[in-house]
Amino acid sequence: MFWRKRTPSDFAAEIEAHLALETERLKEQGLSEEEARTAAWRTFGNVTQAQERFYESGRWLGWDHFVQDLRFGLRMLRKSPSFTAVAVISLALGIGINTTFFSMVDGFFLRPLPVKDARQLVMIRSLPFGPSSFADYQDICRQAAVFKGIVAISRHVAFLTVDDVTEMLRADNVSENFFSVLEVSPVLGHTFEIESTRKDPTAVISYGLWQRRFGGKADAVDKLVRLDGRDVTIVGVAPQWFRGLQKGDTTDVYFPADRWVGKEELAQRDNRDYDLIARLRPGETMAQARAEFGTIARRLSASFPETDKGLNLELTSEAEQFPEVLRLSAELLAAVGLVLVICCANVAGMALAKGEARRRELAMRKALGASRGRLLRQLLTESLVLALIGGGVGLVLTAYLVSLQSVLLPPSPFPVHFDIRVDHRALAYCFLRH
Amino acid sequence: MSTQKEKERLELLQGTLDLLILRTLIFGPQHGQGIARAIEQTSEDELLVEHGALYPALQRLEERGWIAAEWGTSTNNRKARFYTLTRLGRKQVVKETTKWRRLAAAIGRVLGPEAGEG
Repeated sequence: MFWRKRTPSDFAAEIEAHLALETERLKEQGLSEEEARTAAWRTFGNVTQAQERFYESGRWLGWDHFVQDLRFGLRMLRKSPSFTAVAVISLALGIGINTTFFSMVDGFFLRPLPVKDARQLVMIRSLPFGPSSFADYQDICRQAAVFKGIVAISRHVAFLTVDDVTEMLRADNVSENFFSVLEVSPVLGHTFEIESTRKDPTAVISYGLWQRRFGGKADAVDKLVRLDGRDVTIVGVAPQWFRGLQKGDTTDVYFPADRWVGKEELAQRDNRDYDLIARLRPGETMAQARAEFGTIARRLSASFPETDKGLNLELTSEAEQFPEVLRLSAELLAAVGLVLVICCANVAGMALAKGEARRRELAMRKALGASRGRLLRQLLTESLVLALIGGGVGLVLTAYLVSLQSVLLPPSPFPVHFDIRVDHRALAYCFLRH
Repeated sequence: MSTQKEKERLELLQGTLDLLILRTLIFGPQHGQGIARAIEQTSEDELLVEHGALYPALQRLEERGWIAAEWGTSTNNRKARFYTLTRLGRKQVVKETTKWRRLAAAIGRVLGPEAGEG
């Protein structure tokens, strides 16, 4: 209905027309021009008041008031710089810590593994030990029918030397089928299975490492580098989106276990170094998988009593885990949320104290004809200004904190995600408080 | 007709002006001054319409979509803004009239039969 808005001058013209018509009518009844005009004005009542009422019915009035309040709010904040500073700082801290925490929780827990159909993935753990031995892994692979494939992964830190420059990075010792089971195809070169006749050590590197150390050039493939003092040939480059199976972390080098680790070491059943991750065949259920793995565990336990006695293979699917993760995240966020609550309470307290001091001003404005609603709006607008400034500074702080934590924690550059909802919540909260 | 006869006229109850305006417009398009006249005349000069209050009311009704307005020329060749009842407004008249009749009757019953009050 905005476009149908009448201009005040149109309204004034209508009143003018009314007065003319009324004067005319009165003149016909025998009044003089002068008398008729006065009478018309008198019966009309207060012209200014009518015009004011017209203006107040308009939608622009609300906007005008808002702009007024905004200006006034900014002026008030400038007048008491210490109050403003403390309020903005506590809000910014509260909001900053919350958003930072949210982006961390989001990066570590909430997002699924960066793999196709991550909900099909199942973690296999050898209880009571935890990780599994490579020998057990090979036996499990031979016996399990419910899974499309099972990968083994052992996380390491290694020293990589390229052209006489050495750096420490995360290198994962994986089973040969690692990339095919996870359905990750290389952007350059190939992965391990294709060249399984090969016996010399090979490695697949991450996209990030490829860009960083090899300038993204195609000749990185087939290049000989040194990893932990051993010569290794790079055979492929993983795609950019694939950062490894550790949430919130990036693996830079993958090397196949059976070509790196000695046969004897791999055969040691008590050498439990590997996490097992499997992909469920479509149509198979977790119940079926658990039944099958119960049998496999009993068989292993009977065949290798010295090492595998009492072995229990526990399966946890990503899909099953998610609600649990969500609950945990919610609890963590609630805890940090309390910090925000305290910050808001702080600010609210200060604002209350200030309100007490402003009583005279408010009384004056009321005496001059401001309605209660109007005063309330003014105070709310001031709070809004404060909250917006606090929120803005808070977001800047978040950006800083998120960039810091990749320095503080082991290298884990994951994308910064501002959670605007937290900001909204903070605003809503501050509103409620004032 | 009396122009300024100092006879006691009834002030309009809150909310009744809207209904009276809509009712008046049933007979056809009319401008503000005409509406005020018509209300006063049909109420046999019992009701006092404050002209100043009339226009904000018209504005309100227009915004609600019950009446539509257009500038035109009055019978005596003067420019005036003419109001017409919209279909929505017509429905509103019926609704409000029934409501008002019920209210008036109910109040009448509560007050009891007219006593010789002077």
